[in-house]
Amino acid sequence: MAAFGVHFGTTSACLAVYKDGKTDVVANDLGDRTTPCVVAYTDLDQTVGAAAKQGSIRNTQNTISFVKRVLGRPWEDPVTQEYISKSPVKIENRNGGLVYVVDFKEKMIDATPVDVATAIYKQMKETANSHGDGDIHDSVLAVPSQFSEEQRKVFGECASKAGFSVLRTINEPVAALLAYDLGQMDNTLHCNVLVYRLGGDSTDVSIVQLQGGLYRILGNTCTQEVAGSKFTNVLADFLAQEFYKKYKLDIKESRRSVSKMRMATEVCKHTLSTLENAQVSIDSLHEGVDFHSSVSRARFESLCGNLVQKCVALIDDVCAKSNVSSSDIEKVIVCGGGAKPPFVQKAISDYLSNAEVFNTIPPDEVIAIGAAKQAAILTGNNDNELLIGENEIECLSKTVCIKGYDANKDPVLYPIFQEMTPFPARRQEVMNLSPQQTSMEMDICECTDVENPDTAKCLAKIVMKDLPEKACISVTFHLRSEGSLHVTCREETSQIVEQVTVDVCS
Amino acid sequence: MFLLPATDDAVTSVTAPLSAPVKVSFESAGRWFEALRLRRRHKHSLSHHSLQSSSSEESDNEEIEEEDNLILLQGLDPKEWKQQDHYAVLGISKLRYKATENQIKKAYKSMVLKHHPDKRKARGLKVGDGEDDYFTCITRAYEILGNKLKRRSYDSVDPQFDNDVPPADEESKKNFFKVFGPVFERNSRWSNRRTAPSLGTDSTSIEDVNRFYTFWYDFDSWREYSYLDEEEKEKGENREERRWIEKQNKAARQRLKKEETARIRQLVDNAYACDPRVIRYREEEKEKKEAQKRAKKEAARQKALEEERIKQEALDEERKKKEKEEEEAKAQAAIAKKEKEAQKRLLKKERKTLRTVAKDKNYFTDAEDEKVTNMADVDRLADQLSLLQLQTLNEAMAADEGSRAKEAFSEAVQELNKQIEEEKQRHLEALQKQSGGDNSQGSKKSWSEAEIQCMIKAVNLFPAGTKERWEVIANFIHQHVPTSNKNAKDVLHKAKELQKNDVFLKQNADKKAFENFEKNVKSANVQANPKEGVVSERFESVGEQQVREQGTNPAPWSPEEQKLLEQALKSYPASTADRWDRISECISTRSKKDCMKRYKELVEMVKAKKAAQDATTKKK
Repeated sequence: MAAFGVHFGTTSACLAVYKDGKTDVVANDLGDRTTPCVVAYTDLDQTVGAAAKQGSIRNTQNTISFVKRVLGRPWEDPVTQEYISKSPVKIENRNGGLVYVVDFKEKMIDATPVDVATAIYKQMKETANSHGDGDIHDSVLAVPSQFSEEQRKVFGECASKAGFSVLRTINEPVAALLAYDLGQMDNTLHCNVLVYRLGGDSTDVSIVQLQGGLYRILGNTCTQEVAGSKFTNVLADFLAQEFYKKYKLDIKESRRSVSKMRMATEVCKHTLSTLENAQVSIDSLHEGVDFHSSVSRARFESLCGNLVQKCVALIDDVCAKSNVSSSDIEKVIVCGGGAKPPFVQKAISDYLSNAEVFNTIPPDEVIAIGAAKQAAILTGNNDNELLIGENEIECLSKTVCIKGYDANKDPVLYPIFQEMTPFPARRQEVMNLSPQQTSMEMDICECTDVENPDTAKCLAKIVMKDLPEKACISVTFHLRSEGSLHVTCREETSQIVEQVTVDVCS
Repeated sequence: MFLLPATDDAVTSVTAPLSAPVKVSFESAGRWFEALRLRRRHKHSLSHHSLQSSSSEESDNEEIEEEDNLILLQGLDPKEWKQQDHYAVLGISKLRYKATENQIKKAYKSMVLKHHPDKRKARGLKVGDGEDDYFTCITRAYEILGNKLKRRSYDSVDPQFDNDVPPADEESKKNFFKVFGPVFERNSRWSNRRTAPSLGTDSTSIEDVNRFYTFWYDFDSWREYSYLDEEEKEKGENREERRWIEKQNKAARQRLKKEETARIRQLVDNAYACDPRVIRYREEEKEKKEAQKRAKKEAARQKALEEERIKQEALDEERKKKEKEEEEAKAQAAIAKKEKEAQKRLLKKERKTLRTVAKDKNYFTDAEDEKVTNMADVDRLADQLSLLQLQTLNEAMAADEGSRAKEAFSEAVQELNKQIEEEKQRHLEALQKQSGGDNSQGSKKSWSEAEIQCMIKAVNLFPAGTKERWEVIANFIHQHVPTSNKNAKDVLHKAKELQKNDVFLKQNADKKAFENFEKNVKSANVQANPKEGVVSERFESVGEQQVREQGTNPAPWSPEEQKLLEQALKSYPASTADRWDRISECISTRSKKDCMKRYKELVEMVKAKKAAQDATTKKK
């Protein structure tokens, strides 16, 4: 059975499928791998996606975009108010929620954000149907981590209405980690991952702690100051200036000219992500004057220098928020359509020079693929419903380690269970004693800082005597679900066993 | 990292507890989270999942034992492929139907590597040409075992399968599990349902045993016999022939299938008959039923006994109580009698003293007249006064001289008279009250004189037996007393009351009626013109009227009339002149003729009665 991952972004949506052990993005009916989240109401019909976006030049009043920003938010919300002030579509207040008033088939109708989102999900559903795997579309939705419960609920409802069977909603940064299978193959990996999502309309930077195969979002920062659209604006302004220089005509006089310019600039920007140079040619841009120009990547880069600096500043911000120094970040995932320009990725990887950057998956598809992978994990399970508080798991508060000695006979700590290891857990270690050694003693300690053996608190001591020469001791650590630690030492050749149980402090 | 050798005095020990855990909320994503979540939800241990997954892998990795079957292969005749043991040909005769697809494939591949004609040629061995080489048998075997359907039909007629059914005799009863266990085991492979229940042991619960037999009685077998088809359908030259072959095959298959079903049935029947658990269970059931029956009987008997006992006890108690009461009553009666006698004696004595005192005092007077009255008074006093009063009176009279005694005597007499008077008064009052109470009780409506009269008339006019008598009477009253508001019920009530209150009241009413009549006549006389529309009222009884008009009264004799007649007959004996005239005068409602007639009737009735009595006495 196919499992789908849906990422419904502010500007564009992406659908990925997990099938036969592979994850891939499903292209929509136009062949595009992402679908613009734009819904247009016209005299004839309701259009979604690229067609709606293209038609927006002539149908601005009835073209709804950025619906994700207001979905599930009340009228009084400042985000809603800001959105309303900028929206070209007429918006009214109905029972505390906002409603778009649009001209549809020569009638004024009300369209709620839920209706609009459902229309987009329906479009995605059609794309999913083209994958031809029956009517059941087990899917996982990815939403921003700062979303409230209410917003998540509304999102899920929209998807259900459109015909998706929603298994779960996960957070976008985690989906990004899943897309790269970080921590999925090897659950001993312990690291901090920075997820840099540079979206079309906003930017999210999060730090995810990965440990024992489990994820924890340590901190998150979100801003609209840096976004894909800002880059477009910068380039469009530059081109408008050029147009003004050439023809002494200001395109800002006409709304349609601005729209035309923006459209052309966007295409140009996308081209610059892959090519060194991009052509811009707009017929009859303003007052019947055609415009033609070419932009190099270097030019674009220099124009956006300011923005890129802001981008990097966000990393510091999130590090401060989550109490992690930027040097502790070992991996970086870049995602979101805005992160496509190579210089943006380069700036981020340069800033976190000792971190590994993951960018092999097209940035605007990462989250959808991650969601699809999660859907693949969940599909086929009978009880997928997440109970309240079920994601709260009891964990070790301190690192459990054994105290050993290095070559200089200085004590060192060897961690067995890192702090925040969820119960239960088990680990096996093999200890090799020096060839003539016939006895040994092992201290089991807990500590907060592995580097500093003196701070470790001794929990138990295991002593084994009368061991044969060349003894090989396998030690099993079992952290039980009620919290106690059980340690068994077994010498392989003589089968001498020594065990101890450390109870949890109540 | 090294571990130090233990110091001499070191021992394994726990020095401190683990610090308390913290609750951390993780992102609900990833397979590790999912595994953890499911484990926690189902309370599985850490090793649960890994165990499960490893066990499923195991079965596939089984090694196939290489079987050396070269001699067998060389002795094969490719034309007789149908009779060959294909499993043996592929070298998996030990696994047989249990072999997995992978194992068959593997076995086939290894066989091909060993026995392919090209390989053998390379090794310098002899190879039969074309179809005749034994290698075709190997390919044929794989053709059959490699195809699911074909393999199934071959398995169905596996020559090594033992179709034997143990008989239901003493031997198999004795060694039930030994005899039937393996049989069921090997037959269970034909089941369409995967998990056949095992025969179990002697201690298996009856529920499981029943489940086992229901499974086998509804056995759903996949065994089929297409492999044994005599001729292949494809061999038919034309459509008709092919069809005929098909038909033949089908019939043969069906026959075999039927036999198979019967075989299984026989097997299960035999097993059921021999199963010691079933036998035991049946016996137990039987015993249980009998025990229940017995218990029921016992309970009934017990109950009857108990009831008998209780009854007896109650009777005894009652009898005792009665005896006791009787005794008590006797004793009391004796005491009371004694007391009464004593009192009587005392009273007699007192009376005697009173009389003697009175006599002694010459009855307090000298005049003869007064003496007589005083004597009567003394007698009365002696009779009426109680013991105490008598005593005081005697004392008063005895103690003092004549005048004082007389005073006391006259006082006592006066008091007595007063008492009697009072008593009379009270009696009268009570009587009045009673009648008043009756009135209010009987009917809340008050009866006027006219109405009562009218009713008495009506009652006489319409004797008992008249249809709807009381309604008719009520109507009659209505007609004659327009102001009356009595209905049938009231009338009935009043009539009964009157009957109860005997003749006195009636006579009273009659008397009053006459007075009223007189009054009315007077008033009628005074009123020159009576009101129009007022129906003239009759004041004589119906009987009187009839007697007056017709000379006879046809109505039957009422008890009152009868009484009057009897009295009259007594007061005027037969010798009296004009006896019947006088008698008839006594009974106002009857004529002379009526009275005579009645008398004759009565005489006849008495005579008849006497005759009947005589007859009965004679008989005795």
